[in-house]
Amino acid sequence: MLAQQIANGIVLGSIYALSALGFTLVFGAARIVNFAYGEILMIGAFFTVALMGALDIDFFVALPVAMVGVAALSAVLFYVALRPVMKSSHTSLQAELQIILVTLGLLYLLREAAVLIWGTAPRPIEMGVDGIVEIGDVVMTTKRLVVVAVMGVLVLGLYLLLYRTRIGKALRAIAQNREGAAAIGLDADRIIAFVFAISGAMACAAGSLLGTLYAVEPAMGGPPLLKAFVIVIFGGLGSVPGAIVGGLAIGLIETLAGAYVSFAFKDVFAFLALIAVLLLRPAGLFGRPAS
Amino acid sequence: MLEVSVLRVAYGPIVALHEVSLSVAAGEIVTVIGANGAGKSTLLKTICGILAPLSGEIHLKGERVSGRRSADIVRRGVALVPEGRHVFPEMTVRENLDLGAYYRRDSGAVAADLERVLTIFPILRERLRQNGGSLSGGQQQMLAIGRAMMSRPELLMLDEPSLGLAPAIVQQLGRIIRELNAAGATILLVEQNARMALRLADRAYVMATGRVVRSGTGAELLADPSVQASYLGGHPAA
Repeated sequence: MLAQQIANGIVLGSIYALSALGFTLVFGAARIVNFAYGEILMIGAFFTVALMGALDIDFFVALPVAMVGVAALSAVLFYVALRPVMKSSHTSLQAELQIILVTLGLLYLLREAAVLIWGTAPRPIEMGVDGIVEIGDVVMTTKRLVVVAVMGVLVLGLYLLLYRTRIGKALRAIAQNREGAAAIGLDADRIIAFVFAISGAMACAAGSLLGTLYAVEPAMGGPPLLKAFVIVIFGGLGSVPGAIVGGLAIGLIETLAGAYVSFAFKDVFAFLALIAVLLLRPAGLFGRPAS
Repeated sequence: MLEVSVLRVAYGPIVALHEVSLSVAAGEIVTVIGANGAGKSTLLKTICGILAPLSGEIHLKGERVSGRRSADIVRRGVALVPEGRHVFPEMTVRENLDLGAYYRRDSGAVAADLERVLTIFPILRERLRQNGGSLSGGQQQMLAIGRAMMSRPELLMLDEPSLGLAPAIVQQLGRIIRELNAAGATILLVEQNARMALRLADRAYVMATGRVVRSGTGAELLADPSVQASYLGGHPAA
């Protein structure tokens, strides 16, 4: 029973971690809280559904294509909607407030666009993977195992991107010290656009995987955004390991609390854990204290 | 090397530089001194393309660079050691230095330059695998200078390098700036520590409230009573 719940928690936590990663990357590099992030995730899921339907292709073919598409969309949204605001404001407070409003505006724009294009009826995504895996006492659909595997692959890919490539190094530099990055001539706009693209791809993967477990609909972006918020504060704003550990931890806490205490109150336990972390480590598990 | 003519720069409605003109010849050490808020940092940030001027022009080796992106200006041989050092705290010293050479493709020469930086700053060699944030203030300043040198600049601009450093380290810094200059780098040094800067400099400019108010050789300005009174902590004559 316990092992089973832990396995369930890891599946849920994998999707949480994936959603939180894209959110935290943008915050870390650009100090932007992207309220439209949940909608990007939703659009990503719809991209996957639409590709599978229109071209009659497999989920595992459609997903990477959709990820590339959402990456492009996300970068374009940065250039069209956010960058002009950042350029035209002279104080950081003014810029921050305007960016919050713009991303909130994007939230509604994207959600309503999805309603207009795809309607409000929930659509399932067929992963095309059936069967059940039994490991000891733990029984799990193969589909759920695939979700965890996809998360693993994407986290590994992200790690290699951040720590083994030139642009990854520039990205970390911008996240750690914007002025230092400017002094050596790093082009913040391009790098932030790149971060938005990566964030969009992550969101697309998270949304599509959610779609295979539940369903795809225009309103699906809200809960993951909220969860990403909790996880990112839990793990440390802008921290990549924090998002992974935080996602898995919140997934486990919710599942275990839901199984052993009360399903209705499972979210309460996630927030209790958040409060505990904030009391003990105000910057989050992996956060840097503000200097 | 560098020609700045009637440069105007503003942050929104606040004008930070009013018609600033100055020049730096190849091989010189030129310093800009002035009080806090005189526009010195703004000037350096505009030269290296972080800020865009409202009007005026900046020429580098005869080519107009004002309005270009900072990546282009770095590639044309300008490097900035920013005020407050701004090293990357959670990257190793090695990674910090590598980032200075971000736009270079000549990896053989980059390796040679890394060796040169580590020879000038032996402390960085000892700390190569340590994070930038774990270094002391003086060591971070060395790292910031080393990082700037990794782009192999013809014009090295230093913004308040002595800020917050112990006097012995400031002296060492002065020696290093001279060495870099002797090795071929043209230096534009912005300082509030006017005495150190004027001693180093071939020529100097004094800025106040966004304007150049005086200029001359380092020795002339060191001897100038009004400069002494305002910037060297001396007393005005009579």
